[in-house]
Amino acid sequence: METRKIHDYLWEIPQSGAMRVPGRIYASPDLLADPKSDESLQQVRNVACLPGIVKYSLAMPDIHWGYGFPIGGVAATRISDGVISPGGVGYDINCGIRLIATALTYKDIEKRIPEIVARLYQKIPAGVGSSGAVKRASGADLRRILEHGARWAVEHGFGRPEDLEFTEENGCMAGADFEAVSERARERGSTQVGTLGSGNHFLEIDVVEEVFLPDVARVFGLEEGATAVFIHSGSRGLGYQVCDDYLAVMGKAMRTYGIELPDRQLACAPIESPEGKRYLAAMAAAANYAWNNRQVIMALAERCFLEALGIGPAQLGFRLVYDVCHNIAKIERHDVEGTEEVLCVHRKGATRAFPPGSPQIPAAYRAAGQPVLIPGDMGTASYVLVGTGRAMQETFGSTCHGAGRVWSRTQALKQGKGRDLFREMKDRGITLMASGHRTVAEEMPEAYKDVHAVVDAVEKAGISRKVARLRPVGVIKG
Amino acid sequence: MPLEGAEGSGGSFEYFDHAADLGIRVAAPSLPELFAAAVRAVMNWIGPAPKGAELEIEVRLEAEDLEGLLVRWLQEALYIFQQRRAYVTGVKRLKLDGTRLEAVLLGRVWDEEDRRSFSEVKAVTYHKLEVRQEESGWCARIVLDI
Repeated sequence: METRKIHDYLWEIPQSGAMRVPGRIYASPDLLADPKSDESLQQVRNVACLPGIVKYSLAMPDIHWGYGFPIGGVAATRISDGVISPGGVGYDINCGIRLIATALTYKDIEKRIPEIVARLYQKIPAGVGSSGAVKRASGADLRRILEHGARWAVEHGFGRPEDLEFTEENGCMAGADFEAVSERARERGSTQVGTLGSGNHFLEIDVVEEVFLPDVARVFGLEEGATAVFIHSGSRGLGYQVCDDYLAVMGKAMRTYGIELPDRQLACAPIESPEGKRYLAAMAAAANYAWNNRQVIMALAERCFLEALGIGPAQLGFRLVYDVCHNIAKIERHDVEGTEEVLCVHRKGATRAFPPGSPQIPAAYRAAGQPVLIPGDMGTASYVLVGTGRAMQETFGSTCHGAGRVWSRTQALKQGKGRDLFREMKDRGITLMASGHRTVAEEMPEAYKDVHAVVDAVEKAGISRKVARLRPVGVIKG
Repeated sequence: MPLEGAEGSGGSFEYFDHAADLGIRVAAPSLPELFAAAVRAVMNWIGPAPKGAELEIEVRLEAEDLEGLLVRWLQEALYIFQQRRAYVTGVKRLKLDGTRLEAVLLGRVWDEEDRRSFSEVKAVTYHKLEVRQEESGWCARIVLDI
């Protein structure tokens, strides 16, 4: 496929055929996937065909082959004449990540990590078919969760009111509508409140290994040598069902509105249509469910630390740094060729990265910029970045979301045969507990792109800046 | 015209690589056997069949087209797996009439111990979806979100 280099970290797929805009891929040459085995670049082209898309069909350096949209894809469409595509959000609506800082140094608790991990593994529902910390959410509870997000968790003693300010959208997207979520989706959600999930979802204990921007790190409350916790999870069966329900709705709607696209998974409807509005309302509800889940899991994790260490909350100092989503569509104002326009920004495996001065980020962070949380694979490193003005100009305020896969699941399983991956993690200094042994093989570090290279690429492209690097020391997975 | 069938041994499946997800190719002499083989392929990826109590589950579905019906069929199996905690072990009866389907699935209940062997399948996508009739029978291609 023809690509044109814009600079060392930015490539363009020229507009041609049914594309309405060019494609732009942020990556170093090493990171660009081999097109013969990875159709991600073709997916960037396909997304460029969406009605109402503006500027570029974008891809971040962790780009890999998804379904419809590439993972690492960003596309903005005009509200007035553009479409919303559930595939541009994904099945796992508001799959996202939160970072919690503690007052403990890693040295304080190094010997106690296996014990803390064991307690987390016991108390945090994780894995295929796990049921929730809240046994079965009543209809009234579920309505409140879907329409008020993480506020439900706080009202029920999971965490603190101030946590909401440090969550994207304050843990609750406006416009969520319980009625837009199908009976089946609600049923699936009722039994999974507070569950971590499986696959690439995790709860991880990390140590802040290196700080790159001390002033920003100080604002975020991150110190070298400190213990931190990452939680990566999404909207579980409720979100998957919402996406599936609306892909079917949109599939029909495309015929009504005369939309044709190269991939059925890009099914969409005009944002202002009844189908578009209803999907947005259901998507917001699913996003709220995910934020509520991460809030519940955070509170459960705090209790595990307190019980394992026999200390009080003040000594532990468990504090939410930030929570970001990386599968979502947001209605935002952005500059398009000198005019401010209202756009629907799809981020599929991409993270919002707003610059200093943005009113949407917590007041305490406004001078520094929005924290961006980038999980690597389970054996390597994770990063905290900060958003930049250049991201706002070039990528609708977006950046990468993680390491991105290079091996398929089957390749990873083949490579994992005969290996004791739990032992390998232990040799790296990481206590790992997981309920699905196959999942561990599928998630082995080699299956992922080098997170350092992904983060270097976004920094060199100017769309994010590195604040800190964290190293995992304990992991629980489903 | 309605097509009836039961689980035959006449279907086969294989997985193909897809970076973050999983591809399945299915082939069978008849359409009902294709649908049966496709659900076997999904359950086989999830993990080994448990040995819990057996049950039968009636399913009635319809869709816009045949491909959509296949997606709905597999999504139903995933729903039964998660919500009914039942692993689909076979298809007792399957009737296809255009884009309508009626079936009786056989399943086994799974428990906490079984969970350790399972891998999650989040959803059945429409990406690269294909159901095609060939000289030798039927084939399908599906990508799963895992």
